Amino acid sequence: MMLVRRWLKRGSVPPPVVNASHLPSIRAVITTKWGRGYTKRVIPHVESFYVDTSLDNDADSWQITLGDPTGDYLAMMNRDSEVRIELLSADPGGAGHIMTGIADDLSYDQDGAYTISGRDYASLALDSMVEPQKWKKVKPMYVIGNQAKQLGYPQVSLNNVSKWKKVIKTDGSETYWEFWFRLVRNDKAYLWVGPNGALILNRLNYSERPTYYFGTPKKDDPELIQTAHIPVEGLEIRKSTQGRAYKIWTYVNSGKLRTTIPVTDMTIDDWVKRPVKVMQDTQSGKVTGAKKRAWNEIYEGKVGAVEIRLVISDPTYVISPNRMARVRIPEIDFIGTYFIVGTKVQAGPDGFVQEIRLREKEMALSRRVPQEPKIPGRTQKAPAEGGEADVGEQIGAFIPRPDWGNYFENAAREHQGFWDFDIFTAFLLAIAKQESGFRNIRQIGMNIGEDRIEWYPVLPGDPDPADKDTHGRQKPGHTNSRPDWELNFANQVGTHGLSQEAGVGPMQLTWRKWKTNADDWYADHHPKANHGRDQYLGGRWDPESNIMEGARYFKSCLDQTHMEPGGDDSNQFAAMEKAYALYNGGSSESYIRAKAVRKVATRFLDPVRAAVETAQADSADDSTDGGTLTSDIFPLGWPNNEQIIAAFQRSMWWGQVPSAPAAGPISPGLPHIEFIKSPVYTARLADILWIVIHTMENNSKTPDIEENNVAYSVAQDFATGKRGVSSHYCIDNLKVYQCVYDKFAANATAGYAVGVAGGLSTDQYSLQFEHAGTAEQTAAQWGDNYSQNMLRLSARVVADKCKKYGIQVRHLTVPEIQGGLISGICGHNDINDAFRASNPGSDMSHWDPGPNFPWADYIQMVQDAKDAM
Amino acid sequence: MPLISVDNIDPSVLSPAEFRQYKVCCAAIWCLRHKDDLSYGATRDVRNWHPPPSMPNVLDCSALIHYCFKVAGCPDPSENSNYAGNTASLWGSGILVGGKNVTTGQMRPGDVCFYGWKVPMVGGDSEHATLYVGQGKVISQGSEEGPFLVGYKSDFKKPFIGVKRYRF
Repeated sequence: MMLVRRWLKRGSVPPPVVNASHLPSIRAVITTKWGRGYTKRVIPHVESFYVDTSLDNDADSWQITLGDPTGDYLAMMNRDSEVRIELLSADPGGAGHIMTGIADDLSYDQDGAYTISGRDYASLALDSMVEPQKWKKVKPMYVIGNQAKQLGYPQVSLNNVSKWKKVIKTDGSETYWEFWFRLVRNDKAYLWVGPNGALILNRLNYSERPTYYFGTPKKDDPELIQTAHIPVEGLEIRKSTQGRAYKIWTYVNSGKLRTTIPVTDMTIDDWVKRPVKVMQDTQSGKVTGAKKRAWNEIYEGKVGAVEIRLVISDPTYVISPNRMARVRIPEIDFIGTYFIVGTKVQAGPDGFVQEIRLREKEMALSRRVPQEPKIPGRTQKAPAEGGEADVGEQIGAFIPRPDWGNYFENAAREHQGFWDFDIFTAFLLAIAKQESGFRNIRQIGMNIGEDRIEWYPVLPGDPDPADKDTHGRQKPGHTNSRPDWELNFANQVGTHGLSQEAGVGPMQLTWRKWKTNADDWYADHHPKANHGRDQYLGGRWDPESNIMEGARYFKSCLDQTHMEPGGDDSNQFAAMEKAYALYNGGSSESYIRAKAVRKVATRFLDPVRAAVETAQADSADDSTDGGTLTSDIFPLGWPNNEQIIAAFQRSMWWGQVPSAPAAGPISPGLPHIEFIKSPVYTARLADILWIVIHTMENNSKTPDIEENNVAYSVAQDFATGKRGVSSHYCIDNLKVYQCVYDKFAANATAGYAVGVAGGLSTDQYSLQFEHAGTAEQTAAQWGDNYSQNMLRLSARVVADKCKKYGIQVRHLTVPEIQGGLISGICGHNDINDAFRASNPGSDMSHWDPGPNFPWADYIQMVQDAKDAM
Repeated sequence: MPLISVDNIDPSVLSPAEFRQYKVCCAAIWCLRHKDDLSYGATRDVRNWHPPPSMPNVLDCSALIHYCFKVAGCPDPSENSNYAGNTASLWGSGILVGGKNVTTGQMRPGDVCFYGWKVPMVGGDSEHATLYVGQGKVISQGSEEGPFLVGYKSDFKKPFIGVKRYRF
């Protein structure tokens, strides 16, 4: 605190308005168990109250004194009831809600007065823990809104503060308020409770123009602003330098980065007291990130360092926080725009006083983002052994050496330490892949012998069975001579002139110590083996021992990094990448190789995880390769044995079956329609006026060729879009296919409908129906079974469309089409006749469905189908 | 347009391709009905594969599928000419109907469901393929006990990868 100075000269500003008439107009609405249940009761006897609202505190505290000499309200003191209080102004145009809260402590004394203190509705969320939960793909504000409604907030104002989050979770260690605050802080917003009990999520209005004006108006202020000025009765400016830091040393140890970073606040360079802080950082992965955190720490020292408190005379309303205010006090040359952090309203017999807390713009509230609690999960440990689905076997399934899967599993089990089993295993696999490609070979590029030869045992004097492949040919590199074999597999420096120690086996153990370790491990586990530390025949060439020793050494490299598993997978990956670089010698080149190994390990991680999960989920289930839920219940309607045999009796397709004669009334309802989309369509710009009948002209050589599935082949043809034409429906004797939705216009008729309202292309007014057949068919050919079946099928579809789009069931004449006022059914030829004269350039030659199309019968069929609906 | 179901089919109304699709399912159903005559093995004695009522006596999971396609007169699903492919060659051909999240609505009888640890598949014991026959069920030949009918996403000890469709 620096300056507390009385600057007021009596008379220069209006005297404090002691508006005693205001307090009687304040009402307390108290909800408690007055009778049987919770009911509201308005209490006018508010003697004094005190409400402290601020954005930098979680819950706002308040206190009320109520007069009750006759003990009318003693029901409030019941042990088993809660007291909720709303404090409001009864004045019309008054302050409205001053506070909504829940009483924590109540007392009643001999003077007949209640003293009630409590907190606002933030206490609902502050006092209860949120159960562990996880949400995926949500906006956090919706989660908050729902939870707030459940907790009993009367209103929630979300203000669209959140962005989509992939996943949000809580582990049960947070209260609702902490959880919500963390969520909104991640989107740089804040959370507080309004005077009416509403939960408000919002950002800070730093950039807004002033809402309130305190002090003396300027001469050139507009009149509206002049009248808005609220006189100031008291002023206090506080400054604290205690929180200020000069230099922050950040010790970063995050798994990805381990270093110490200093950051200095140069603005206080010439101070004598320049506090240095040391900070630990386990989050940052990069130097810039760590520096940013340090800068934030310096910023936090400035937050609230300067605070201005104004005591203002009663403006008859409550000043709300999260607004900007201009303060102008010419007596001390004080002018500035500040952010309102909080207000304190105090009313008693003496009057009504508001104290406003102001802070500097951009530095009003802490920007800290709470840390997410860590939820332990995933496969930290290896699954229990002995299950049916063995991890090793499953690993063997996706590496080139199936028998090595168990070696990797056992090595990881033995040496994983506190690292995750799956990640450790994935790295072992990646190392084997990078070092040797899962081959048991000596290091490539030695000065003696040959490269890339799988190790094979040759005992002195033995003929070598591994020399020849299955066809009796000499394997490349294999010789019968023991000296050559020794040249190929010597790995200790100096033997046969070997210039350096050579890596051995799948894990490419290079140093002598690791090789002999592998030899010893082998000897321990195979008591009968007697090769000891032989460089040609020792355990180092046994894949199991080799992998085990590689894992042991890799783990010791991991220990050397001094890193710990923490945070997410990437931390562990980073640690193991570093460990691999050490495994590989620690040279700058090996760090580059380590990056590649990490990439490979990420690829191995998914299958390893799947294997681990399967092994964990593996319960007592005894079937071998098959599924667990076998069923011998055959679906009804499957072909029986006779039908199967019959199907195969003719090796060819059964062929055309003549259509059954059409008989009886048309069956009601739409037939089954399959959709095959044609790319040829445009937006429909006019209502459907005409249903246009086409024929497919599927074979021009024989007019009446009738085959099944014509509609399908035509629909497929439209689906290619190569011809640039389409139709809404394609119909043959058995099936209906739709190619274009009704809401789009197909491309089947040419020209423009000149004279019709709109004058658009004829397609725009038409619903197109393609029928199997040709325009040349005679009346008899239209009357055969195939055509009749088709027309009956078509009539059902057309009748449905007539009903749906209000189209009349009648065959339109050419003048009626030209008029464009009457809806109905017509042929493609009718459209062409109607508009041929007005479209000289268009192809108006089509004459389908032909002169012999049975129009009268067809219209009757449509009418019957429509009636049957 | 492949058949949606092989239940209650009247073969006379089918197109040639639909009829071949129907026959693929018929052959698989025949093997399922005569599971006692079928043992498990990876041999592919393609020349002795004859349509029902005859059937081979040794088939493995992918061989069952190749057998059904061969006797139905379809092209080799592995896009060789000898019907001797394995799960890997099956996976390498055909068109993908859907991945892990495929629904039965997208699947048609005669589609092939795949199970395994990695994509692309490499062939071998760690992978499995089954023939979809509709109603969410597949016919799986995975053991000496012979083919059985089971849900397409049931636990074959291998993760479900996806569904492929071949030319009928």
